[in-house]
Amino acid sequence: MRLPKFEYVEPKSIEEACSILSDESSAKILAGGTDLLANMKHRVEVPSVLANIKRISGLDFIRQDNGAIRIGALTPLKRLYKTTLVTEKVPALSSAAASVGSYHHQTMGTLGGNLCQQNRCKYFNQSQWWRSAREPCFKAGGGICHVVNKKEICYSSYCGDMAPILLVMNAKVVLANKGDSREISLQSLFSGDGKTPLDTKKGEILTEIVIPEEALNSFSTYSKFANRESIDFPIVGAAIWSSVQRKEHRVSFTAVDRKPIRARNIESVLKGRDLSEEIVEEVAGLASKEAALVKSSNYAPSYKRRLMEGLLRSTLKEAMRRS
Amino acid sequence: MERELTVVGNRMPMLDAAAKAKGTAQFIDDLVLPGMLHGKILRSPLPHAKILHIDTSKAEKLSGVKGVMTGTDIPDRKYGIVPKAKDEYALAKTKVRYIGDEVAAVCAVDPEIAEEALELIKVDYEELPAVFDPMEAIKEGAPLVHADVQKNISASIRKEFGDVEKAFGESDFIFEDTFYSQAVNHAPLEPHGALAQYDPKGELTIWSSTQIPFFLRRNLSTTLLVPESKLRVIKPKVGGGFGQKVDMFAKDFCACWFAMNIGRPVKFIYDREEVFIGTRQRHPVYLSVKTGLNKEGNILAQQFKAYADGGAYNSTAPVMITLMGFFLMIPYKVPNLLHEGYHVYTNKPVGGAMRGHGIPQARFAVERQLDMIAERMDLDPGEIRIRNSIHAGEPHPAKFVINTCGFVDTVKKAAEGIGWAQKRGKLPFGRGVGMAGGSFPSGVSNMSHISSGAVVQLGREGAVNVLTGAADIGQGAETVIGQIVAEELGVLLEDVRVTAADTGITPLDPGTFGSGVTVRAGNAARLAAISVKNKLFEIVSEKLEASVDDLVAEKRKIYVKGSPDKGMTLSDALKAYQYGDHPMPIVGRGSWMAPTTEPTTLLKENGNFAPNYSFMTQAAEVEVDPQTGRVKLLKMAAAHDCGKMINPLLVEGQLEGSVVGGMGQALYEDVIVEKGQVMNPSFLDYGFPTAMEMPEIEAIEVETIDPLGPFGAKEAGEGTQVSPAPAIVNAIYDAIGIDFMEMPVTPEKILKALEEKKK
Repeated sequence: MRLPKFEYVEPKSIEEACSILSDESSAKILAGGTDLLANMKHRVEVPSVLANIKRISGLDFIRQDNGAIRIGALTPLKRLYKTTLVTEKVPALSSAAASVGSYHHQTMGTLGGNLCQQNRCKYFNQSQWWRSAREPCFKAGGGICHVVNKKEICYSSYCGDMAPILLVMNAKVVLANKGDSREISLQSLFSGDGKTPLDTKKGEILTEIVIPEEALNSFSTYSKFANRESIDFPIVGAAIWSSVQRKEHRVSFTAVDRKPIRARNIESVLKGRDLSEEIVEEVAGLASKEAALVKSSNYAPSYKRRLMEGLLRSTLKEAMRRS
Repeated sequence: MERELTVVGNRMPMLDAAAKAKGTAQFIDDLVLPGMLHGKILRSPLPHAKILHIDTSKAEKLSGVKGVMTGTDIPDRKYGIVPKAKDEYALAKTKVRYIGDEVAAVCAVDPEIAEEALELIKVDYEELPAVFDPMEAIKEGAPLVHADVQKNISASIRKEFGDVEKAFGESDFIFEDTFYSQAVNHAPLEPHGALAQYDPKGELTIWSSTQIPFFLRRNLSTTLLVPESKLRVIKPKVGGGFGQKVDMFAKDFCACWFAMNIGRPVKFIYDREEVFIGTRQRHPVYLSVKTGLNKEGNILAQQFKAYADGGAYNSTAPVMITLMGFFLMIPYKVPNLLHEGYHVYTNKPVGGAMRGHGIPQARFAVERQLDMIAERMDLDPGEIRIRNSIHAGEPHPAKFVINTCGFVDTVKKAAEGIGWAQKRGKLPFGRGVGMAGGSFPSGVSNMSHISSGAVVQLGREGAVNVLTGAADIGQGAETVIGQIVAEELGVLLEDVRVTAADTGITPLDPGTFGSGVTVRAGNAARLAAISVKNKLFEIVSEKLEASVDDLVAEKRKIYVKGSPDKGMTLSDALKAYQYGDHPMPIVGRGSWMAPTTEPTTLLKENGNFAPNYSFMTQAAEVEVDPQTGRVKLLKMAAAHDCGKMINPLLVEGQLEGSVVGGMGQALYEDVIVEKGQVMNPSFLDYGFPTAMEMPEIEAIEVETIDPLGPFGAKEAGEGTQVSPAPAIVNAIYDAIGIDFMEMPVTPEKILKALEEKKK
């Protein structure tokens, strides 16, 4: 399969890149390209302009600043498990990066790009010819969702591996827009609408990920269940962050909903309590209630429900052992 | 043997291994001809529809487009790999029968323009009701995929050996179980391609990634209306086939048609989605097996019924359902068998030959049921297999001639390799071992008139040239043939150049299918080499004053048996030959066909099926994670009686490949279809096992020396593929006590079954 025609530009600065996004309604940012280019070959994304930001300096860094760890959006995933600062301070982020796709994805793919990846759906991630057998769906510019066979919204799923661990660490992201920038919580980056999964303003580009200092000294882990030991997107992924001192335990999931989710109900049950076998069993049963599971992949919702429960159980037990 | 073998039996890298490792081997995609155009195929997005009108005018006007063709342009000649079952047009003429059916083709100066042109072709369809399940398709009133085929049953067989009803009456135990074997894709790493060139004299040359150049020539000839004498099919390097490249495809026909009509070379390469959807897959089959046994656990009778989901066309349909039935008669002694098989059309991707060709599905059912029977009768699964094994030299209920049979040894050695005695039934919950047996013909001798030819030429300089029609598709056929010739002529493998699979140059050969290449083409090449050797020996015997029968050729020397000092170098022998006024080069010819009495009578009366039969057992050890349902295949012990191994390295390669295929079928792979649409037509979504999933593999030799195979060889190709999948599913039973009756056994199904078991 081949790429559609597009204009290719290399902006010299973030400001210039933001202007291109503002001026060209169907322009897209190209970083690692591991998600975008595959989608372009399928013609589910057909940008008129590709603005390659990889030549812009200053977006590829990892540093600690006033306690917080700040990571440039263009940092390749591979560097997250090759950099001592990350492997020592946030080992869970390193192992999450090592679980993404294949080595090639980790080399080409960037942290910012991974967070901003498109939602996935078995009716969407297909070739143009394949999709022509059905009415165009929301995500491909049509007016129906084949997953639920309804004309409401797009039910594609967010399947990124990096979001869950950053969510439980209450990470923030910096969005630049021309000369300006704003910092928002990672959670609020995601819209919950499969068609436009990112809640950003026109012209905004994610430039930086910030992990607050308070997240660094507690146990956290990301656990992914996929079809094979390499290459695949998660069927379900779960992250937890657990602080014994604060008696606070945070839980998130990916590949179970239209956005990566924080399991707020489970978190409130766990709040103020020490982890124990009984509590783990108590909350494991609540796992699937946190997500709106639909058949957007070839894996049944009932199976994902079992996996959510299983992953929550095993990650919480790991937290018990480790903290 | 009169002497030690020096080339045959050695572990030798394939002749083209270095070229492939370096990336210099030439596959279709590497071939470029001056002025070459690129073709693409428009496929139906509907599962079943009448074609009302096709408007190609916009596509034709696109700059860079050089040709557009549709079904109305081509001769009214159907094709198919089985002459009696032709039901396909290269491009659909009046209706489309599955999502992926070929509707039109374009060629252009580059592939991008060709793809763009496809989007400009407008097809008006009238959608027809479609049918997606074979059990629905055979009901009265179901939509007919082909109007002239009632109940959509395009091929069927009912074959009885012995008296099944009587034998069931005499049985102490009768068990009946039903199984389902899913659709899987061959997915050779090299996608299907073709490049055709037409010369003004009217000669058409096509390079095709095919397993059977001579069958392709025949199908092209009958559909293009070009005499076979004007058609030359060349097989370049082929990156795997597994049965998926035995058929002719639209890319072959359209490349030729465009080349003839435009006068420029045209190349087609399918993309991965097309390979998944628009070529072939292993038939999904619903199977039921009824088995009657006596108290001792000997099988008295078996009744077997199979409904194969053939998809929209026949491909090998009648052959597939026949093989499935006949090979229930090996490796176990089944004195009475009734096989009923149906090939049913549906509006889905097309089933075809795939490594084992109908037999893996049947074996899954039988090997699974044998384990279930062993459990119910309190017998050891290994013991019940040994007890029911056929043996060499015994009268066979179907009159197969079994000259060598190492089956019992394969059961014992595979069991030993996996640690059966210490492990079966004794491992903790979640761990288990299982085994499955099998047997396979080394090519078929009955049913079709197939034979191989070879020419061997030995020049003054000592170089050996072999011409063979055998199609090396990555399995190493050329290496094996080279070894056989080198051994017979007493030269080194490096002295031999093999020129193969070019219908314009090499002798007739039925190609790569049915696991017949080593025995059939190997024997032909050996005969040709013997003919060369005899001519040379006649002269050498005069020089050495020894009888021809006493001469031995080995390592570029010819000497008198038992007296290595009394001899001469091959170089001197050739000099003597030439100076004795005998014409150079020395050329030998050989043709070989399996001994057979009355071909094509098997459906009516019993008789032998193949020149010889391989036997095998694979034993698996698995670990099942009850939390996630994931099955990890830890080890596979594969014992294979393939007669004399011409090249153990290549046999091991086949065994390793069979384990990957088996674990794919048992645990990972499934062509998921929703309303006729393949939901996972990519490597990512289909989810083959990767290097990360590979188990430890122990390849175990069980050598027998077969009287008909070259140097005693039997097949080691498709046969290796019949037992790994059931062995894994049997091991899962040992691990968690659940009998799975269908594949793949996914984590999803395991979690569900474990939950149900708890209740």
